[in-house]
Amino acid sequence: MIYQSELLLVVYIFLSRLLKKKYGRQVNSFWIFIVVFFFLGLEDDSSRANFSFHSPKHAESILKALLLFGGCMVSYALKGQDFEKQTAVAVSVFGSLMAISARNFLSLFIALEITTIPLHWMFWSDCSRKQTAQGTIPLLQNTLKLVFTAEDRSVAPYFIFAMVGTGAYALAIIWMYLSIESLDFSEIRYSISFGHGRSHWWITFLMLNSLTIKQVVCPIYLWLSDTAHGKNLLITPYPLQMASQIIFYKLVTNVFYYLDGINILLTFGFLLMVCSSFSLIFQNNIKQIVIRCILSQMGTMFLCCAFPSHNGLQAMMFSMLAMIISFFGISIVLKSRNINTLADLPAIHRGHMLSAAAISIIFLSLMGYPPFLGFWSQFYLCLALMGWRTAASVIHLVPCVFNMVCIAKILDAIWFPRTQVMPRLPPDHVLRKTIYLITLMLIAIVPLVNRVFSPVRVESYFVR
Amino acid sequence: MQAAADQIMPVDSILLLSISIPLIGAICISRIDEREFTANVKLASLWTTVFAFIISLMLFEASVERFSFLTFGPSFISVRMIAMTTFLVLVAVMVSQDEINMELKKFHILVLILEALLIAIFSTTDILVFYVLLQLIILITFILLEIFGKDSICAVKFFIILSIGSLLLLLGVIFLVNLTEITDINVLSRYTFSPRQESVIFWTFFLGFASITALFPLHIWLPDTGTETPTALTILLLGIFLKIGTFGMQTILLPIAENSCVHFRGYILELATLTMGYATLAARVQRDLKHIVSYISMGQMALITAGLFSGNVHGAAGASFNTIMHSLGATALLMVIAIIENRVGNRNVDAGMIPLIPYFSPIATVAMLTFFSVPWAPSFLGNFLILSACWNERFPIICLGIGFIIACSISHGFKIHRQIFSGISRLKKMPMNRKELAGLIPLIMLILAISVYPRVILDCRGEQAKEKRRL
Repeated sequence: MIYQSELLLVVYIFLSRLLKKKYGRQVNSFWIFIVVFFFLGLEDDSSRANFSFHSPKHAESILKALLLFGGCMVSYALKGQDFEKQTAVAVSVFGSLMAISARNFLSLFIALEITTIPLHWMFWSDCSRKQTAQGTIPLLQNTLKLVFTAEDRSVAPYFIFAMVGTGAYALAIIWMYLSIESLDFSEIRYSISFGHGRSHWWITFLMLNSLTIKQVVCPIYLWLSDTAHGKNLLITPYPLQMASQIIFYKLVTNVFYYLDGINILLTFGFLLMVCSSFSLIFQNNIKQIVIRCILSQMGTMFLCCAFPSHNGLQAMMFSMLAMIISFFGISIVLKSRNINTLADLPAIHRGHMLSAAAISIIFLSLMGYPPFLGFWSQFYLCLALMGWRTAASVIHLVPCVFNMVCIAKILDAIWFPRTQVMPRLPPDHVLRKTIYLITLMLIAIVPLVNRVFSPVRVESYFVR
Repeated sequence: MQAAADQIMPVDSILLLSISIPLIGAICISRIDEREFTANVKLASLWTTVFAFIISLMLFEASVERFSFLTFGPSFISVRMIAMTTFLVLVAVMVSQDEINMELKKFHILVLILEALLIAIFSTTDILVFYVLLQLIILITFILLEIFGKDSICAVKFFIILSIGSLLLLLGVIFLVNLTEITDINVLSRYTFSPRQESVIFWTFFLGFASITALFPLHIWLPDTGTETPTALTILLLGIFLKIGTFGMQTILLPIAENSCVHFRGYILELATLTMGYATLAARVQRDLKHIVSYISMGQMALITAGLFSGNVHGAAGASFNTIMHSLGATALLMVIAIIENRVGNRNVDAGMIPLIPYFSPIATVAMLTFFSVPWAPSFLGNFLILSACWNERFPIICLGIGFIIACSISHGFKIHRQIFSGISRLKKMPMNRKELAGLIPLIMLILAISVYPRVILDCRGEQAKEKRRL
């Protein structure tokens, strides 16, 4: 059966709307993601060859599984909230699954739009209800004051950049079609790799830049962290970026591997890592720390994109796992505990040991402390960088120094408070405890399995 | 005899047992209610460390084998380090019985986890596992220092400096893996690298280990951390933690980057001499006995480093010998200082207490003589071997410099000894209690036993070299 997971999602979307409209019953999307997750293994790859959305091998299934895991977590966070948001998440995940299976630039464009539009709507509707913080770029903010109201000001740049990214991407597709007369990945790769590489450099440059703008992960976008102010992290653009990053990696490693254009990725990656890690030191807001850690991991992934070797792939896989598991784990912990700043953390271990352990281990993993997941991504990336330039691997370790300072600060706040007052936090219920435990196990045990048995060998079409 | 020991229990089982016993103990302690059964927590921890020590002694009779599941395997030096670790953890737990009363459960759980990690790091033959274990040891030590130390700034300083040092180590590990795709130390030691590659490996590893060994200028975490912590933790820090650096140099750096070690040994010996000189001068101006012990330990570690890099089998043997003797001497002296502090209320050199404690003078004298490596004390043998190695390898100026610094350190030791003995006390006669005697007497007996029969830890027959050839 083809596109089993995508079809199941579409059926769910229509049926749930029908149920809601006719009988007023609401089905939580959490369960549909669980079902699709299990159906993913039954997909038949061989019958897809004639479709434009084509998924050749297991690596795509792994990426899809990661996305569905993310979908489960977002649905869990939205449990009990309005029906429209849950549908939006389902549509968005559906778009992401299609994007992973995409085989040409047009289908990728459509899939990306299906992914992003519901999330834009969800984000916008959430922002318009709340007073949001001011941005950190004064010039941009002053300009925006003329156009937008105070409520929309901090999220407006996000939408502007997203629109610019979409426009640039559409332009790049048209340009590519006019010059190569095809939008198929394999044909474009063939064209690029056999002697016409330099003539397509500008198209690649535009394509990569439009994608980075669309994903809003360039170093200049640190102001984006303002958009998370006062909101649940799961209903921010960050889950969307993770989905885009997976697609981006696939695109770069499949199509643009032979071009010099990927040097852009190195620059972006290093800048993103260093800037976000350095800014970590000055943060006291726990959400800002999480976001900067995520941005740092995204920098890691940009660098991985530039090295599509076995080590690069390992680093990418570990980075994605670390980022997705840690992000959702920490989002749920922060939301359930209503934690916003480091000042809310002291003495959390008294009576809430599991939450304290979850926060500590997730941060240790995000900041690349061994033997947790994040460390192995840094390790394999460093190996990949070492094969290219020794100096690059040294520079790559610089952000780790900043991370150490931040880890010391967080651990100090959680475990060694100066106050003897017990924190007043809501009690844990069983499902939440289970989620914490699963997150911790994934972060702590996956790398152990990696070392004890054998490296994660993803038989992938990424690596040629 | 060895075959018989292997038949009773193979080496991998002994090793697995010695790593798992502290972990099982930690799990058991975590289930005890601290408020109602305080004594049980202490007792459980004590018995766990006793069992771990007994099991670790069985490794002496075991043959050198590779542990099949994870890359662990005891060698000549690692067996001695493991035995020393289990013994010092036992002593630290005994010392903590009266000293630590707050957050008792946390202390014992963390110490037992630390013991398991230390045994694992001393027995691993995988360079990546070594790094990961080192990071975990740094993290747990940081947590211990944060909870039980008097100054949290010291703990943060410790964590950041050692994390930066271990990042350099990571760089070296990644460089090696990138070149060879192998992480086994025994296989790596047979590889031939180009001079440039070996230089990179040498400096990254050396700087990483130097931060742990507290060589100048990466020593800044040691004096304050060694002083602002309870005696049990200071024992773990000075007795075991510092030795991870020299152990790494001996078992990882020297076999892998042998040519670079010979090429750069002049610089390392100069650095070691500088560190010794600095430490001795700094110790002279201190009044707090723990500060003095920290600085002298820093000098001793530099001397051990000099022995390792002298490029001579006598130097390596002396360094191995001094590694263990320093741990025993520092532990004994720290216990003596704790006894003085309990009675006087401070740790100043002019505390003037010893004449009022029966049987304390001979014990304190042996501890001080061992720690300061006074001639004819057991640890002087190691100093002599290191000095002779430097002389034989044609480093006469460094040899004279080190000799002069050792002489200054010994004279300082004598001065402190005289100050403590001749001080005037305002307190009444206070004998040592049973727990203090139970901790100190086995330690002093062990020191005296090694001084009579040093061959048990002295590699005078080149066992390490034979082992390397066999592997």
